Amino acid sequence: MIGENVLRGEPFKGVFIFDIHAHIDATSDFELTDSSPDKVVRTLDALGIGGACVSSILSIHADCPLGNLHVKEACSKYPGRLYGYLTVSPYDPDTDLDGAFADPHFKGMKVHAAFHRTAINDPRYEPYWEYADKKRLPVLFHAWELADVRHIAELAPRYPDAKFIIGHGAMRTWEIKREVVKAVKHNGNIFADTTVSVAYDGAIEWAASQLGADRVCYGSDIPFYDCRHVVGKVATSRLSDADKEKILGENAKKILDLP
Amino acid sequence: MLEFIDANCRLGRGPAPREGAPNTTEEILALMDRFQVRSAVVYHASAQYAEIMASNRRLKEETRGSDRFFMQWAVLPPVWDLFPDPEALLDEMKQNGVNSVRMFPAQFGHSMKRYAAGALLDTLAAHRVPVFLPFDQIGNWDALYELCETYPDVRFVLCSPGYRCLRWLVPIMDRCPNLYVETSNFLMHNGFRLFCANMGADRLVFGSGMPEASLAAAASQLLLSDISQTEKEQIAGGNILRLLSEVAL
Repeated sequence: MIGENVLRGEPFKGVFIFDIHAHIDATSDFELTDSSPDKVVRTLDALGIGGACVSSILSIHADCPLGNLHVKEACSKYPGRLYGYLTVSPYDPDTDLDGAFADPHFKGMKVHAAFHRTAINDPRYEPYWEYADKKRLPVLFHAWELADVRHIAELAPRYPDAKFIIGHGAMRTWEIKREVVKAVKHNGNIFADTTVSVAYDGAIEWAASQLGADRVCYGSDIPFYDCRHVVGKVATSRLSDADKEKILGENAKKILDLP
Repeated sequence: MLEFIDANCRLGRGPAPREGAPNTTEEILALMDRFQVRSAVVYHASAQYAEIMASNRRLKEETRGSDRFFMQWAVLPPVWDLFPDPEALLDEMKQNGVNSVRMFPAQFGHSMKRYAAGALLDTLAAHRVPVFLPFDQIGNWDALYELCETYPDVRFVLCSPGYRCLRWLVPIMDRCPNLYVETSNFLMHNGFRLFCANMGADRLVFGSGMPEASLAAAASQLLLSDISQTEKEQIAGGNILRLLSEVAL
């Protein structure tokens, strides 16, 4: 039974776990501990987690191109363990998307509109949505506020072949959760991840019951948070093993088109 | 198997019960069973949000007679006779088997400075009663430092310090041996390992933050951490049991 290992303090075995929402690099705002690719992979190894799709905190905060280069290098160093999100911003309209996605390690785009001091419905993002739609790519959003969820819900029907992941979406406030449920029910290309790690007991079960277990993905936000919280919480939830497998890794495999 | 003592748990109906969350004492006890939590330090939701002393007195009823709870009361510095004076308060705590307190200075609207809270905190210190303080009730880190310096004999347990705390928290803990940290929101990556390696394991106190936060998440973080079994045992329950065993009412 998935999760029994957690109570024994042992790593996972025999279940594919993939973190759909992870990072590398540091921030100046506070001490972000063990945030290098080496340290992130070391934690994945220690826990028996198969891999993670990472974006660069440097990209999210300031220098998109340089941070994306860090992701490329990290993924090359840890093939099959780390995959990358190409962080896109409104300030880099000349981003060579074909060139970036020629690297098979890049599996999707990351958007952090708040740190880029704009909103998800900024029209300067449109070329990225069009590209994601054309290439059937996932886009992971930092979606902390109600407006973020509403903007994603507006995009989804316009770009039906893109896959939109509501980061932090599965377990926040009641008002946001209600909006996430509505967005997911109305759009087959919207998913939500679990990156609010201390959300109350029962939140995972509630998310699976409302969104469907095939629309919820394990994500931890490592190294912002210690991933042990969320992975343990999903694994020890009251869901069936089949649903846990979907949330812990199988959904990510499909969404990110992992080998 | 690691056995836990949960140092941060709330009983009674809060302002916004969540769907699927453990909202009753029975549901909290069931979760404690699943995660090998032998006992929990509990306070009453209404003592935080409504009638303070009346709710403290109802806490025993909320425990449903279970012997798995350490009762904790919400307290504040008395004004006139509107709250029991410190000695009367401690007498009543003793009669009711209460051995720790929790303070909400921001929510209850009072100062923690000596002119207002000195008599209460000195009395609590004299009886070695741990004082639990949610970080969001203190205001800022400098205020926490000043508090620990002003009352060096009070054992403060800081609850929910968050994941952005290191640059503030470490210098305060270096200088203030009377400060302990409860771990329900202690989320930094590899935080337990780094903390144990640099500061030792004897000032971290396991807590869940139930029902607002997750026991499963809190327990998983400690169970899966790459620290020694001895360190895990200290954090999981040894440290809080030591603090509570030293209370002299």
